[in-house]
Amino acid sequence: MSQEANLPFAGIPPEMLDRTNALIEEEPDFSDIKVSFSHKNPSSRAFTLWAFLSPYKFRFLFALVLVAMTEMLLLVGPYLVQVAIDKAIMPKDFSVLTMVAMVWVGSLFLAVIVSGIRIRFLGRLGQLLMYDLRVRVFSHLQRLSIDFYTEEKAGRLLTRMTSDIEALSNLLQTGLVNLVAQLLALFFILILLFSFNLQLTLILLVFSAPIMFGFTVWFSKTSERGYQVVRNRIADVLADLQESLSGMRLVISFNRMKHNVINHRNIVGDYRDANHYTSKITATYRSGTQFITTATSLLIFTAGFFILKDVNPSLDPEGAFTVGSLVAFNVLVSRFFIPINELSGLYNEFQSGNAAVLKLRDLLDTEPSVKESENAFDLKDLKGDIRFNDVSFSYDDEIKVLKNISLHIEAGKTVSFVGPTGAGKSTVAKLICRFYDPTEGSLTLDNINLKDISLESLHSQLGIVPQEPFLFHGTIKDNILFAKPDATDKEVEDACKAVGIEEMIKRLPEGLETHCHERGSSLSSGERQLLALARAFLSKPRVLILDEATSNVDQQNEAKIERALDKLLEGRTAIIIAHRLATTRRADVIVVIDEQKIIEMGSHEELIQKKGSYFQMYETWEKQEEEKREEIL
Amino acid sequence: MLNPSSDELELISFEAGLEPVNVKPRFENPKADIDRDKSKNWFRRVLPILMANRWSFIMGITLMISTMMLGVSVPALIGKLVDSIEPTLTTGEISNFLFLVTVILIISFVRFIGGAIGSYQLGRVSNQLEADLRSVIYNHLFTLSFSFFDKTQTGQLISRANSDIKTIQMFLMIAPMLLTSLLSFAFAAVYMLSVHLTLALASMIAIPLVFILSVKLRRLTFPLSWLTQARQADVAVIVDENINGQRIVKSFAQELMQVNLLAIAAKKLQWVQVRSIDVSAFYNPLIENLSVLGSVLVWVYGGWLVIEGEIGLGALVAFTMYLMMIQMPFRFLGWMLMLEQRAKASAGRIFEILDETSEIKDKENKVEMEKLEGKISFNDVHFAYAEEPILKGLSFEVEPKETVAIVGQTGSGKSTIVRLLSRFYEADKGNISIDGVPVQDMGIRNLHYHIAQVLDEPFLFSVSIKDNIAYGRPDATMDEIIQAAKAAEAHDFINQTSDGYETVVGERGYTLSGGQRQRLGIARALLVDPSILILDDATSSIDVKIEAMIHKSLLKLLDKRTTILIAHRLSTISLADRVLVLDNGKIIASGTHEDLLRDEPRYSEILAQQSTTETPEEEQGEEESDEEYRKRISETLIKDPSEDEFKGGFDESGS
Ligand SMILES: Nc1ncnc2c1ncn2[C@@H]1O[C@H](COP(=O)(O)OP(=O)(O)OP(=O)(O)O)[C@@H](O)[C@H]1O
Ligand SMILES: Nc1ncnc2c1ncn2[C@@H]1O[C@H](COP(=O)(O)OP(=O)(O)OP(=O)(O)O)[C@@H](O)[C@H]1O
Ligand SMILES: [Mg+2]
Ligand SMILES: [Mg+2]
Repeated sequence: MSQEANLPFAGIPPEMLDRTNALIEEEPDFSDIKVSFSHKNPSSRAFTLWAFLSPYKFRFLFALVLVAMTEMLLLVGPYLVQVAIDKAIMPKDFSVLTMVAMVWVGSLFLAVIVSGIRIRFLGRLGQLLMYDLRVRVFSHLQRLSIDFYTEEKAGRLLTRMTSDIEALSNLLQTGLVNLVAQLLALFFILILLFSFNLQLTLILLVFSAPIMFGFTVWFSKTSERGYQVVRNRIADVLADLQESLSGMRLVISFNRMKHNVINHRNIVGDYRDANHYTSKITATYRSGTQFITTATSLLIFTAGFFILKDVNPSLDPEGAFTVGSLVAFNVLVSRFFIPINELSGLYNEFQSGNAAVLKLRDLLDTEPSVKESENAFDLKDLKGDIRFNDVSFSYDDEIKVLKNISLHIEAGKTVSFVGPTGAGKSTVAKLICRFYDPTEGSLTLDNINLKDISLESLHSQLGIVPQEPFLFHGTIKDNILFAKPDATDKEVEDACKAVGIEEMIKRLPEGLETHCHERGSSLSSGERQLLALARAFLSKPRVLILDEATSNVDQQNEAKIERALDKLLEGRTAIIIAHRLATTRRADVIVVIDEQKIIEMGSHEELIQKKGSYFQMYETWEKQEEEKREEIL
Repeated sequence: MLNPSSDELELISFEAGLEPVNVKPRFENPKADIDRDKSKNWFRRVLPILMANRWSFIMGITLMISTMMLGVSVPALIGKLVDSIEPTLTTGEISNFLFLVTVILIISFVRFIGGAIGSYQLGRVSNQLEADLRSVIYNHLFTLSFSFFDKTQTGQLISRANSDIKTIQMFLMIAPMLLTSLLSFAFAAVYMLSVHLTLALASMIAIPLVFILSVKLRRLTFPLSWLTQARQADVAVIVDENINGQRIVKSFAQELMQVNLLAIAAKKLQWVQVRSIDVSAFYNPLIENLSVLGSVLVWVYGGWLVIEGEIGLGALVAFTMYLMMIQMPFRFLGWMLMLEQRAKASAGRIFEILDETSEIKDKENKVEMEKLEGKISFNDVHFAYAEEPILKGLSFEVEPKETVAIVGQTGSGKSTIVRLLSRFYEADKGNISIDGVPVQDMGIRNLHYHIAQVLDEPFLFSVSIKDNIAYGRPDATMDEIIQAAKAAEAHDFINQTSDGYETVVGERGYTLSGGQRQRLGIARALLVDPSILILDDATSSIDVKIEAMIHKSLLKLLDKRTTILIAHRLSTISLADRVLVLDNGKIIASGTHEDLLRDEPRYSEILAQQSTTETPEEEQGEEESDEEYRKRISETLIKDPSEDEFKGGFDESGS
């Protein structure tokens, strides 16, 4: 569908708009990208971080080498400071000082190049992985069955493809590598510290480091918990907003505003409190580390002072430990804390990345309840002979919706299902489409078990207009073309004509190119159904299933559609579910479903003669018209 | 009957009855609104909300600034400490050294406490601001007209409410920090300049470069991050649509095409993200290492100065510490400018919602009616959603307690009529009044209080059945809910669900059958016991038997109120006292079903019925008219049952 409409360009400053447009100009044309899709899950391996990364392990290894180099280059500075103080400033040696300057600048130069390469290399690798993952998760979503979509909240599923994948991307591009980098840095710095002064390093490790470390662990833990709460709360806020927006008409017409406003304020308030909590610990931690760093400096200076005092310079003319060394040591100490602090942020990143991996694993491990069997084959030229062999079905394994249904629908016949609401008519339709598999019994199509037919060949020859018409965001044409993207304009026109929306479309300002808003809200309920019908007409399926497809359409239009159907259905099988008995009485066979069973079956006349339940229904239906007449006369 | 009776109503305050509430407010309403003056810049428009929390803000900022000033003294003191080591070692008089240590310790402790409290306060302010903005936007949404929601995508609104507010919050949290760090820059610079002029200047040599680079970086990253956001939204939209429309994707076997669509969107996202990575791979190491260049200069040139004896080692140490302080704000500044620009853009998008006003508003001297007779009159009403007129001079009246059916072709504007009555949209011309009071003069809530609708699309929330029925009256008792469910013939099937009234229905109620959803919709409307009840095709998916039963209970209820039915089915129409025929934007006829069938050919046409009088003969041409077609079909069906031979093409079920 048209994506341009989604650019968040409102409010962008004009200069930046030009730049952004220039950028879009540069974007290559990706429209010929072709990926493959199969209903069978291509990989049986569980989704773990390791399984996901292992094909790229050598590239990650290379990245690690780059990381190690960068970290070493970063430590050249503090090391040179020590050299400068001890070898140049204290002994007053200019030549060493210039040497130091040259080496330092050189290392900076190298650092620029190495970390540039590292960022590019890792970034590209990460993005490649993300692309693969997006396609993989989305393909799996396409594989999953209808029951999955009825149970999962749409909003929650969306986060799998958006924020979860982004969390993983952060983990890959910065998190994992940084983790290694910081550990390396810590290691290198410790070596340097020990080589400078054993006593001071021990003092550092015994007094300061545990405090800083403990403080950091405390912060990581609490802030992770805090952010967890924040994430849940913001999800609540957005879910509430989403719900209010999609039910806006109801909210307003039922005067629900005040209730919703107070409720939303409570939810937002909880979210704010969660934010307050994380603000509090973050503020404490930020200032706290600063304090610990300064206090450590003081500790080092004081300890160093006493060391200097003990080492009488007159007894130790070499000056192994001087004020200069003390100062240089102190510079290193402040660097020692950086990796520790960084590790706390990384810990959180790791946690959320890991949580994302778990959620994605759950999703990717979910097997579609309707699976394509191993030796499924493409059924060509479907004739449309449908058989239910003792079929029972339950949505939740508790309440049976259908019980022992046996039925044979001959190819080319029109069969109509009638029965009270909730009897299971739509369920029958869903079973034929294999949206669900029967709990017991089996269905055959052209005498082949439905489970042995590939889903692709089944669905491409079978068209259903479900009870809930769904329109995509896009133009009317996009929506009709959905069933058959390569249809010609003529075919689209014919489909529109057949369902009688060509006049309505003509009236619209942009004709077929008019946008129908979200879920088609700018169309009348009948028009939405007609559009969904046009879509089914366009695909010219071998078996057509109409589940109350014209319930909101006026009878004149309906008659027109029926006539078009007659033409379309020549030689094809049709299943029509309707409550308006005028629609159904023309069917070759009428099947009456009630209380999970087929209670009657036959042509209209047969059933009328039988004076059974259909007869009663028909009578009520007729009587309502008659009654009215009599009353008036 | 379902509602408290009229004398009970008087006990409950009428105002409160208009908007029943069943939650306890646990938080206060936002104290301030944004500035509605569109000409002001974005920051000044948000300012009132910030000002509502000014005490926290002032406290936070004062603490931040004072601790920052304390902090500026630390490097100088440490410099002193370093310089005091040598003399102390020689004199052995350590009290001065220890004094300095204690002073620094105390100062940094005070700075720790002050800084923590200060930045917590500032954090609170920005969190509060975020929460207030959320509430303000949410509240505002309900004041908007339906035409706004028609043209806006829900996903867009949610992303604005999410990421855009976050961007503003982020900016307002960071901005005070920059402010204080700029101040600390000033202090540090003064110290450095006073100690040694050329060294100070040398140490700052890299700053302009860093600044220029970061400004440049910002220019490049802004469009990139903007496009990234757009591409992310594209991916999200495709995923969202595929989740919601999965039935359609599956039933037309379009999985491959959708995966391709997503692959393209994901590739575009990958492309723009790789571009951003390339930019940051170039600039970020440069900026970072350039700032280190300042340190190199300080150590080398400063070292030389120490050797020369111009400054002490302590001063050099202090210098390097100050260098950190002065580089910070400049590294910040580039980022900050970008944040500001993004916040501005985000604010712009939020204001776009907040500046949207609805022409449909309560009047100053609105009429509040406690009871309605229920007389409705439309007089020469014109209306168009866009250019194409839908209603063209529509007039009709409905008497109190009358039941009227509106009949018309698909898309003729039946639903539009009831939308105008509820003032979801405003008529372009003409009068709509209830009990003689124009709807524009009535309070909107008052109006909705008296009108209950069953919309043509039975929308259910993914909550329990009970909460769905009680949607209009969250304070209703269980008894009332059950009564309403019984009246809508929903009680029986509800009891058969796994958890009865507590069963949570799936997304949009899709775990229920179409007719079950519609019945819950009817129960929801009946529970509010309105004076005017509108059923917009509300029984289209309900079988005749149940429909008849609902009608029976409705009949009991209908006497008490005015009812408008919109229907295509004869069985529904037959319930009405009178039928209005809508065609071409006007009511072309009104009367009983029989009269209309006899006198109004257009009516029979719409119903595709054989009229009782002779059909107009003009249509006898080649093309068979719809009525004739239907007649022919039903005649062949009824008169000739044996001909359409039926060879038992099915097995008998195990009944
Ligand atoms: N996804 C689902 N999960 C659980 N139960 C379901 C689901 N869909 C339908 N049901 C239940 O199964 C029963 C049969 O539903 P079905 O939609 O087949 O009825 P129907 O005959 O089509 O009714 P209608 O005429 O109202 O559309 C109903 O009781 C319904 O509540
Ligand atoms: N929000 C909207 N924006 C623009 N056009 C609209 C909007 N809603 C409806 N329309 C158009 O106005 C016309 C009348 O719509 P309305 O929903 O009133 O029809 P209706 O008589 O209720 O039809 P139905 O019987 O199919 O429900 C239709 O052609 C429809 O496309
Ligand atoms: Mg159904
Ligand atoms: Mg309508």
